[in-house]
Amino acid sequence: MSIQDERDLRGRLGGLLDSIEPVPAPISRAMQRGKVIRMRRWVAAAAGVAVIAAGSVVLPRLIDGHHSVVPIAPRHYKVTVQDLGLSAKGGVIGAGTINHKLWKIVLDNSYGGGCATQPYLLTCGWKYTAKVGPRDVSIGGASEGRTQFQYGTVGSDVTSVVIRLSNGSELDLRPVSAAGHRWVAVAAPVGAMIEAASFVGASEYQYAVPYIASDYSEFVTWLRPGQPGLPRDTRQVGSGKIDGVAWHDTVAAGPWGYCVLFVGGSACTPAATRLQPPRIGKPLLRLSCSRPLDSQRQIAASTGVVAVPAGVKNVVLRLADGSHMRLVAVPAGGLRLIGYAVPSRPKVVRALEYGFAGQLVGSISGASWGC
Amino acid sequence: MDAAANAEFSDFMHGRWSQLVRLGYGLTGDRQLAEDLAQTAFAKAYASWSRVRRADNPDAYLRRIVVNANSTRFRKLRVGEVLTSAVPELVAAADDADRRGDRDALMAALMQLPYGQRAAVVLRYWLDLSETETAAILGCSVGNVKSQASRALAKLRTSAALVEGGAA
Repeated sequence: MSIQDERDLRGRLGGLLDSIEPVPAPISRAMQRGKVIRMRRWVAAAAGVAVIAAGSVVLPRLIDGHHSVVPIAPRHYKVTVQDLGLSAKGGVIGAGTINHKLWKIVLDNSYGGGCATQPYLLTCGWKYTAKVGPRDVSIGGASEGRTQFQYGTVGSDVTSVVIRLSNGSELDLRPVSAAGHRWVAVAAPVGAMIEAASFVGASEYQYAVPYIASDYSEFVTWLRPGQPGLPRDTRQVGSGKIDGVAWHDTVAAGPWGYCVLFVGGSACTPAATRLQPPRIGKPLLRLSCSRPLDSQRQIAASTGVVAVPAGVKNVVLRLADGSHMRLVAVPAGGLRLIGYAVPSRPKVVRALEYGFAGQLVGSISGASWGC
Repeated sequence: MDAAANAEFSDFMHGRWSQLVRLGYGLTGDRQLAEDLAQTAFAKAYASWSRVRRADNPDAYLRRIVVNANSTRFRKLRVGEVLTSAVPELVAAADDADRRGDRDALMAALMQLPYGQRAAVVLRYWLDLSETETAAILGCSVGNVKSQASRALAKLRTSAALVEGGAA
């Protein structure tokens, strides 16, 4: 017996494999194993949340002595969403319960482009509503105490957005029409939302792993199914004191993109893959820029994070009074990043880029270093 | 998951169980292992049921798990082969092929193929998947599937297990 051609092989394989009579399908056993797999995923997700929480909480405490909220979801909670139909009534675009307490997200044009929170209630205007493509989703967050809210608009082709929670449950959000847009809205405990997926018809079109900040999950980057996104990498890229006020910057790269944690907030940049670093001598890539916080007075300075060219080891800033500052780049998220704080006066007039051999490789204007 | 989703999964698994076990058997030559691979695939599908049930091709998802799970096992076994002096059972099966029927001889010949070629053969010629579908499951290019299948066919034509083994 030898194989003659493809047809012959098909026939013989059919004879071999189709003759196998398996045992009856062990359905309950597969379900049990599936539950164990899900449990492991939740534990892994919770561990990831805990690591991020440690990074975002411990640093401010060490450096500033400020208190921050730990973004770990409670162990036991139950969230539901109501089906509101196709169009919003009374501006309500989302409603449901968290541990049997009613939550609601309402649109009210009198709020312009802002929002106001009360316990279990978020009220927002729609003045600055993001425009989205037919298959895209744009959602943003807010928080009140231990409750986070997410709301935003979806394109005309999006049939649902599923939010996955750390307790393993899923919330199926159906878009609701209001003010000429299609909206989705949901509330859950802080730290609870660990993934979102958008569906076009019955197919998953995009998914997003959020950056879990201390107040709410930030859904920044939407990825196609199977697209892994950026590997997770969290590094402190700068810290110090300016005018007596402590500052620090930590960059967290991951499937959400790049997020910078600074004293008093965070800023995220969407990225499905590593951002392209700037070229030598060209303007720097800015990931964040903010004013150092002090409850007592206004600080005349800027802090931020920039990406420098791949071949740059450090940067020397020349200030208008003739003094200079030396800043060392830190590798994070596939980029070389510098966290910095510079005074508003004297101004930075020039930035000199130095390579790994200590040679001067580029010179750019000082304008990139202020907000 | 609620009762309706469990019932839906139960129907899904019931309808596909036999084919997935047969796929696992074609890849491993071991019935028990094939059933374990199939059960693992369904367990993973259950763990992500909300996503799997909405997928365009849930069958491809299951097949990919079986192929990849066995590929991982295969890599682990290769490390083991360096450490042991025991003769692998399948080599013995090939040596004794003349005392077996056509099916055993074909299985022995399949097991002598490199894993990638074997997977390409089973997916292309037993499941009758297209080259594109096969490439998607194996995670390689269509060109790679063509060359794997072509090399496998060439080896099977001259396989000692088949030439010496079958009665026909």
